Parts: sequence; C-alpha cells; structure tokens
Amino acid sequence: MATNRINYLIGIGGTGARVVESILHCCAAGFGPNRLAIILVDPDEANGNLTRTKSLVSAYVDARMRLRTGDDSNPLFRTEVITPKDRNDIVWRIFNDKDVTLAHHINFDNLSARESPIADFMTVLFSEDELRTKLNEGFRGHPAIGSVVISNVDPLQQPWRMMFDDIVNAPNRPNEVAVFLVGSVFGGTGAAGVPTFGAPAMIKRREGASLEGADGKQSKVLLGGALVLPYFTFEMDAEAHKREGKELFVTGADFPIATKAALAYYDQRKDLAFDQLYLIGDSSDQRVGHFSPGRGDQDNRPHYVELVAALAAFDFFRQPEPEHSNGPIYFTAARDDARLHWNSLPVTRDESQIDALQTEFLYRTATMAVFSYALETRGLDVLRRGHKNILERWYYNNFRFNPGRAEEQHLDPNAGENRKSIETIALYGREFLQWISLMDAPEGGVDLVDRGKVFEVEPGAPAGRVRYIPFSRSSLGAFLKHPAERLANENFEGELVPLTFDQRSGSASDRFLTLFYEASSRFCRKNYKLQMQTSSR
Amino acid sequence: MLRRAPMNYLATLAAGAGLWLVTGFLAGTWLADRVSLQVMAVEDFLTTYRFALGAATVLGVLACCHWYRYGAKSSTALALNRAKKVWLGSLLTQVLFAAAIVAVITILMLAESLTAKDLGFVALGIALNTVIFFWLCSFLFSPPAVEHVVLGKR
Repeated sequence: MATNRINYLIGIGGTGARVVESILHCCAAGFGPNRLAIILVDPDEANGNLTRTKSLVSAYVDARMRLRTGDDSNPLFRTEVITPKDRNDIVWRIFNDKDVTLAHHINFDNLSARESPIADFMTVLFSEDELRTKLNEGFRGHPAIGSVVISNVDPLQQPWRMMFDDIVNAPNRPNEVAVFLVGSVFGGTGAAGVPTFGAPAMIKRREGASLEGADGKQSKVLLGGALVLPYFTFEMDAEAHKREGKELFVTGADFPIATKAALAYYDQRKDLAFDQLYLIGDSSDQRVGHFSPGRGDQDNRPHYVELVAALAAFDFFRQPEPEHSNGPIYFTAARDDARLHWNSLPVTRDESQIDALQTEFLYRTATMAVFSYALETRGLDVLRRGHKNILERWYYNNFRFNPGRAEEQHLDPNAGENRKSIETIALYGREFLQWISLMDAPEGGVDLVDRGKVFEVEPGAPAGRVRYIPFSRSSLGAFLKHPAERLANENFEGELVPLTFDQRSGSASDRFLTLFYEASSRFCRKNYKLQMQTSSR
Repeated sequence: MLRRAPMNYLATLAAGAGLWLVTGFLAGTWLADRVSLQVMAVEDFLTTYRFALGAATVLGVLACCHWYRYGAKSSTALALNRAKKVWLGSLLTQVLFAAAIVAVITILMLAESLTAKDLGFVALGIALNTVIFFWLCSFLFSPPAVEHVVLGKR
C-alpha cells in the first residue's frame, strides 16, 4: 500500500533544492505523504538556494516537533520529514575537500606524468577549462564533469547510509521503497545527477535492493524522477564573471541546446532503471533573479514549475501498486490556456481524482496561507498585550488561569515553551507566505495569489521590501486568485469566537494554534465554497 | 441567546421598565410618605421624581442600545482596546447624566429643604437607573465579541 511505502526524495542541484522547498511547503500545508526522507545533492555549498532549503528543512522539523504532540486533528506539518541525525548531513557535497577540480579527482596530473594513455583520453573528453575549474561551486552547466564525480557514492556515509540501510532492511517485496529524483536537464549538477542515479547499479538494482524474480528485474525500489526542462531565465554579467577568472559558466542561451542533448541522451539510454519519469517545463522565460555560482546571493525567487514538480513527486508517492512496464512510463501535462490558475495545476495521473485533489490542494494551501497570516498579524499581536489586557472572547474561553500563580504558568500560551512553540510555527508561516506570494507573476501568466492583499511595500525601505498589512486592513478573502466570496477579515474573527477546547486537551500552545487552524479552515471553506471530497491519499 | 439581537435589546427594555417600576413607583411612594415638603404637593413631588427617574432610565437604555450596536459590528471585534474606551466613555457619560439629573432635582427642590438623606435616596435611584443599570445590562447582555470588555467580567 502507498501509505506504508518508505518515501525518499533526492533533490539534485539548484533546481532540485527549489523543488524540495516547494515540497516542504506543501507538506506543511498537510498535502504530503505520511513520511518523507530528504536528501540534497549539490557541491555548491554556498549556493543561496541550497542554503535556504537546508534552513527550511530545519524550520519544518522544528515546527513539526512543536506542533504535533499526538493530536492528529490538525493536518498541518502532517508529513514526518526524515533526515540524518546530524541535519548538516542532509546535503551530499560530493567532495570532502575544498577547491577540488576534475583533474584532481581523477588524478590527472599523476597520469600525465606517467604518460598514461588514460590522461590523453581525458584530454579528448574534457577541455583544459573543464579539467581545471574548481567544482565546489557546481558543474557550471557541464554535466559531463558531474557524471564522472557523482557516481562515487559511499554507501557508508550519510546521507546515503540512511537510504541504503532502509532499502536493505525493507521487506523483500517489490516497490517497498519509493525513490524520487528531481533535477534540471539543462544545468550542471541536476543534468549529471539524475541519469547517474538512474543507472541500475546506483540504486534500483544495487545489492540489497534487487529481488530474485523470474525476469531478474524486480527490485524493492520504485524509482521515479522529475526532469525539469528550462523554465526561467536570469540576469548575469558575463564580463564580470570572466574578470573573476570564472571562464566556465552557463547562460540562458545554452539552455535549449543542453535540453535537446539531455532528452536525446535519455532516449538513447534504454538501460536506465527509472520506472516513471515526469517531464516538466515552461516557455514563459520568467526572470527569477541573478546568476552567481558559489555565492550566497544565488537565491532565486520561486517559480510555479517547482510547485508542479512537487505535485509530480506527490503523485509518484501516492500511487498504489504500480503497473508493470517494460520501460519507463512518461508523464506530461499541459495547460488549457496561457494563464496559470489553481485549476491548471496537474495533481494526479488518475483522471477520476483530479477534481477532488485540486480542491484538496487549494483548500490546504489556502488554509495554510490564512493560518500563517492570521497567526502572525492577529495571534501574536493579541499575545503581545499580556493576559490581563486580552479581551477577546475566544481567548478568555480557552485560556483561563491566574497569571500570578506559578503552578498555572503552563496554561499561559504566552509563557516559556508555549510561546516558543507558537513563534516557531509563526516563523515557518512567514516562509510559507513569502514562498507562495513570490510565485505569483501576473506578467508571466501566473495567477495564483494577489500578494497586495496581505503585503505592502515598506515605505522608505530599500528595494521595495514588503511587510504585512495589519490584520484589520488586509483582505484575506481575496488573497488567493480563485472564485471566492471575498469574506472580510471580521468573518475570520467570527470563526474564532465560538471555538472552545478543553483546557486539559494538549498544551496551551497546541490549543492556541489549533484555534487559529480551525478558524482558518472554516473561513476558507466558506470563502471558497469548498466541498471537500474524499480523495485516495 | 440573550447576548444577540434582538433579545439583548428586548431584555434591556424589560429590565429598564422593571427597574423604573421599582424605583419610580414602589420606592417613590415610600419616599413620598417620608419626605417633608414646604411648598410642593406630594403628587407634584412624585411626578417630578418619577419623571426624573424615567429620563434616567431612558438615557440608560439608550446607552445600552448604543453599546450593543457598536459591539455587534464585525469591525469592533478586531479593535477591543478601542471598544473598552467606548464602554468606559459610555459609563462616564452615565455618571455625568446622573449628576446632572440630581443637580436639576436639587435646584428644583431648593425651596423644599430636602434632607441629605432624601437627596441621597433620590441620587441612589438616579444612579441605579443610569450607571448601575448600564453596567449590569452590559455585563449580562453585551454581544459576544465585546463580552469581556465590561468591567468586572474578567
């Protein structure tokens, strides 16, 4: 059954990290599988996208630990995200040393000194720049370099040890472990990593994964992948990069030819072990920021294609026992028109489930957005006033205690660990709102949210920095661009008032967060007129 | 149920009418039997007294109705600190009204040389129909969103 399967998500390169970010936010909203282990692959340690995703994993795990204290009524952060014990090990940096070059990795200088024919062969395969470029800032759009080094996986080292142990220990039945790779086909690390990990010996038919079957092709591993085709462009100063001595870099003009070569390669490699592949791309050429290999300011804004790749991963993990196929099954989807709406998002391969899952996805995303905003601008604002000055009925009905008595401190949502828990969730909520807001791009045909309903430009702040519109002035009911009643924020408050929870049920922070979640859920159902259908998840 | 319209308005009207009957008729009759009047006839005194109490009750009921209307507005739920100021302002207004009515009665009855005890009784009746009436009705019948704004409710 899909629900018992062990799920692994491997995000390769910058695009992989961005898709993992989208997946985490969807899991936070309650749309993910029960359990999901995450691995990131990127030699570019300082990459802003990677750094942000790593931080987000930590924020998710911390938020989940504080929220999920046994009560399953709240679906937020439902997915248990699994990482190695030391969270830094979630990233496989490929190289242990700094400033490694391909020449160093293959011991080229030594081979040359011994006049080995292998050294000559290397000079045929790789240019001098490719041999000498430092690789810890990524493979610079040259997947041929990456494919040499990425195959060097040490199964005893984290994060691979975590995955290979799970595969070995899984029951001896087909498809017990679902592994989903995601990376771009037009870059460096992703373009090298996805086909490399798709080779039979790397994961699917590795010792411990293979099963003895009549055709010898059975495996405990169900292997899938999302091949992300070009979907953005970026600003870069080529001359500046050359002045810095960085000769090897990719530009947006290289994407089409790299993609063509990559797809031809996948077509030729009949021996790759993928069971299912999703092809995802976009032609809108949206600008997402600037290009800075090896720099923390390579931190590009989210793109809806990353969300689509995330939905592909969820479809892969959700599937029941897969059909047997002699080769990979390819999945593609297309929009009905040039503009992207919530109903355009491809959520499932099962036609009979499309409506139900699209409704559920909208509902969960909307609820998480409303919850995040309301918690920050209304919830924390209320708590700041102090217990005696809080006059809201919903607060009084749920938090009755004497603040002067030490033995009743645990009933105060504003004290100690309770306050920390609420702030941890609010912190994640800020990340979620920023992610979903920045994905909106009317100029690029993406009509998902209207960020002007909850954010305003901070006057006098540099580069149009935004801040939350105060709760009383914002328009929650119009935030998501979807047919809605456009209920006023006062309606949200009205959903809070009648909610009462037993003071003995859960901690004060649990009750406070559940209040806001329930109110958000009810607000969204009424606002978007959502009839939740039962989906097979 | 008694905190939502129209029940809270009806309950307030009923309470006001009942209070006026008690303080105006019953207590007034008791007062009229004890007060020593120099110029005014007892019936005139009672009419003045009941009229003053009636005016106080009307002011009290109007203040309550204004508070219920304000408290039931959806925007009020998001600005309870301001709501508290509105309520305190209404309470203070009732105090001023009560003081004004007592002052008027005192001036009207200067020639009667009413004792301090008599004036105190009148002032108590006025206060009951204004300040105390407003506080009690808002304590019992305020809309849910502003229930805890009322002094003594928390």
